Amino acid sequence: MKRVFLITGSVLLTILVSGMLNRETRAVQAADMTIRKQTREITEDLVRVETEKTALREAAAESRRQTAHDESGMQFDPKFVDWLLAGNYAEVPRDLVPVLRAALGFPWNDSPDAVLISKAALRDLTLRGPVRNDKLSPAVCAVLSITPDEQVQLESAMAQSRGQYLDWARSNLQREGASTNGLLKYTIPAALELSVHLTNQLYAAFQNAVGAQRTELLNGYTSDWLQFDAGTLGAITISLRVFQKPGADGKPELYYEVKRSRSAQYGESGESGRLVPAHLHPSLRDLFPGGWAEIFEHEGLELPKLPDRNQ
Amino acid sequence: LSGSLWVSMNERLTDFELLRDFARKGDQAAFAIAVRRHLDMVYATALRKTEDAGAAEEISQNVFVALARKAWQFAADDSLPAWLYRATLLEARDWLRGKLRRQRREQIAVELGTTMKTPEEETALRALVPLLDEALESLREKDRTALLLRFYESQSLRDVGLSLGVGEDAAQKRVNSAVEKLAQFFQRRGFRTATIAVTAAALQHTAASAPAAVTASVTQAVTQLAPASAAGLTAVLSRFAGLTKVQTVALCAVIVVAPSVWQWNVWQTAKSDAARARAQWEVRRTELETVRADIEQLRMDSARLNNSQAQQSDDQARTEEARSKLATLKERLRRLLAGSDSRWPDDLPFVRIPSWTVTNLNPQYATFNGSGQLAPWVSEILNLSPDQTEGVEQNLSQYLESLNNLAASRAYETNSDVNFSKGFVTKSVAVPALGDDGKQLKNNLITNLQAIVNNPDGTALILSPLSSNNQWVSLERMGDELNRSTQQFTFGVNLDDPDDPRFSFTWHGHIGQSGSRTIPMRIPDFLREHFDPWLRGFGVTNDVFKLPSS
Repeated sequence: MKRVFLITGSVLLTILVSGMLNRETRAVQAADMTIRKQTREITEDLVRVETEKTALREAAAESRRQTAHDESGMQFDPKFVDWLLAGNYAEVPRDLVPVLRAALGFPWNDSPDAVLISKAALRDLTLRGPVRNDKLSPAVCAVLSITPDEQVQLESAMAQSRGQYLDWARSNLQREGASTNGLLKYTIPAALELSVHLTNQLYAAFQNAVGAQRTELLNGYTSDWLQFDAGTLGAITISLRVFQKPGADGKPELYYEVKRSRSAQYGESGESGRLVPAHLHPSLRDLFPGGWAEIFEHEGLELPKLPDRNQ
Repeated sequence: LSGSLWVSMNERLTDFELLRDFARKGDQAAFAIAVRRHLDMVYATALRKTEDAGAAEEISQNVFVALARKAWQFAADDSLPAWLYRATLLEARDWLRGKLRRQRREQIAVELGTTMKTPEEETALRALVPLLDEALESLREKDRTALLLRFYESQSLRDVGLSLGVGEDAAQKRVNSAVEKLAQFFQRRGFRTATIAVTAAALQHTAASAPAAVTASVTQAVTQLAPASAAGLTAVLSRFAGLTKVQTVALCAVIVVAPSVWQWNVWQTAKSDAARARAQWEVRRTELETVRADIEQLRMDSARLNNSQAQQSDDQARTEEARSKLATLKERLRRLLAGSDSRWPDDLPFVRIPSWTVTNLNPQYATFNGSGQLAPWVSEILNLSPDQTEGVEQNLSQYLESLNNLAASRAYETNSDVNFSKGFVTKSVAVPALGDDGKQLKNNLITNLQAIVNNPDGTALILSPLSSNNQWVSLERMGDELNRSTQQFTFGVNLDDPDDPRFSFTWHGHIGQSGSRTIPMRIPDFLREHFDPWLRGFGVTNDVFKLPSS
């Protein structure tokens, strides 16, 4: 019986062990099945995405070819294209001037007696002697294409504004007689309201005559006229002082000093030196058309015979 | 026939074979042989225990009936005499459990205890009998079997050896050894007279042959019995029970190991397959992730390219439109240039000016820089082509370099007094008038420019900085002064704050400039050659000068 029990026990043990192993095996096989199923799905996905990848690659290559082809046709600077498409050709930015000139491709020597230049370049220039005796120079008229009619209007406006300022200056001239400061002193005080009025009036006339573009350029070209001939139309205080001091030989000599001051904030400028009868500061020439002689006569002084500047 | 069968079977078949034939084939004759072979021993044992012939017969019958029932359980290496002996003892004990018999036995024991002290051998022999079975049971089974076969079944030593699976000599030794052990058992219990001879005598004394009637009745009783079950499960079990220990162990091992190994192998194979599948899955998954990443990248590229393409298409369309507008603009400008109408073109970027106005131009900005590069407006005003512009710039650059080299070759350091601000350490460099050498450089430049520009006014315009009244500290503005007279230059450095040195430069009789680490100086190279090493002596090593072209 022991043997039967032993064999039976062995069988039971075998069943137990085999059962456990079988259960483990089934679990592993189930996991294996799951993995295989997932692998099949992944493989199918892989095939699908590989196809998609190939299609995308081909599309990308085609796009690149197309892009390269398109790029070969591109020649213009995008900024230049923007400017052309904007359609406002009244101005061209400075950095686009060479681009535009190259794009136009003109044989620049086409015209022997004229050149095309950009309006931007005109702003970098000044002209020699643009205004003389309230008359615009031929160069200014030529550069700005000012017609004779326009010239008349501009010059009239300049003369009118300057005349109004001179009228005001004459009636508001402040005088000091001989003092410890010198023989005399004239002061034309600043008149800001008048200056604003006259300036606006002048540029309104300019604009009316030649338009905004040329008014802006004229503003630059006529700045010296405005500063000196027109006395800034009242925007600054101008003073003239005449005084004596010993010369190299110990004899007294006449000196003058002109100061031009806008305000304490801007400081002042001016000139001083030996008084030369033929030379009166431009700021005062229109106020005293007779020059130093008129001033001395007006003051009741005798204009001494003074050495010429060149002496 | 029965006798010859008995003799031949007795010689041929073992107890196991007899029982096997009985159990499997229902061979009553085989079982009868086994009964006859061991009946004497069973009967003698039962008689010894019960001292009652009737009981011994009944017990013998019961024992063999039990044997018939359990015949299928016997294995080849089981000892039938040992089993029968033990079964007989158990049966006898059951019979003796009755009260009357127990009292009688106690009485006998008292008598034996008394007789144990008697010296006579007969008395000693009788004293050993009640403990004889206990003594036999104390022996190992093989020893006990040897004694049972030898003394109670009166087998020859040869047969004993056959039953035990040994030779005759070995059987003799085993019998002797077993008797000796039996004697020792008695001696340990106080029976000093229990010698080997006495013990053997006791064994012989207690041996008895079953009477023929008993033999006949028992044989008849058991031969009427059918085997417990000679077929089906019992047959299978009998086969199992009939296995030797070695066979059993081998069978158990096979039963346990073979399926387990097979199942384990299946498990391992499954695990191996699963591992391979997982590895393959990992590979596929990695591939898929890689391809997906590629696709994502490609999609992004594609989107970018599409955008780029769309942008380019848009740009292309815009460019085409721009070309069209440019053509219109070009036509208008051509008319402007060629036409006699000189009205101001408010809506065009260029204006037409007469060439003669060039002589009236007064440039607000330098016509070229320290490297000889022309200002763009100069090329415009002078109507210079790109080649002309390049030619002019090359000549200007060469002139400036030659002038610098000439000045450098003449420059010397001087100790002449310099009126400088307090706290500055100074160094002065003087350059004697370059004279004809300098003028020759400038004349060459004028000649070359004239050849390129082909317009005296234009050449004058380009060279205007060379004779400008503006006194900027730059080589092109120093040129005429250097040619005319000795020029002196002084560089001062204030090291009150070593971390922030202050610089000052003076071109005697002209203009000066100040600087610091954050405000670099701009002076010609030929002067830098003198001031640089000097400044390094103060630990000022960089950020002092700007290159002329910067």
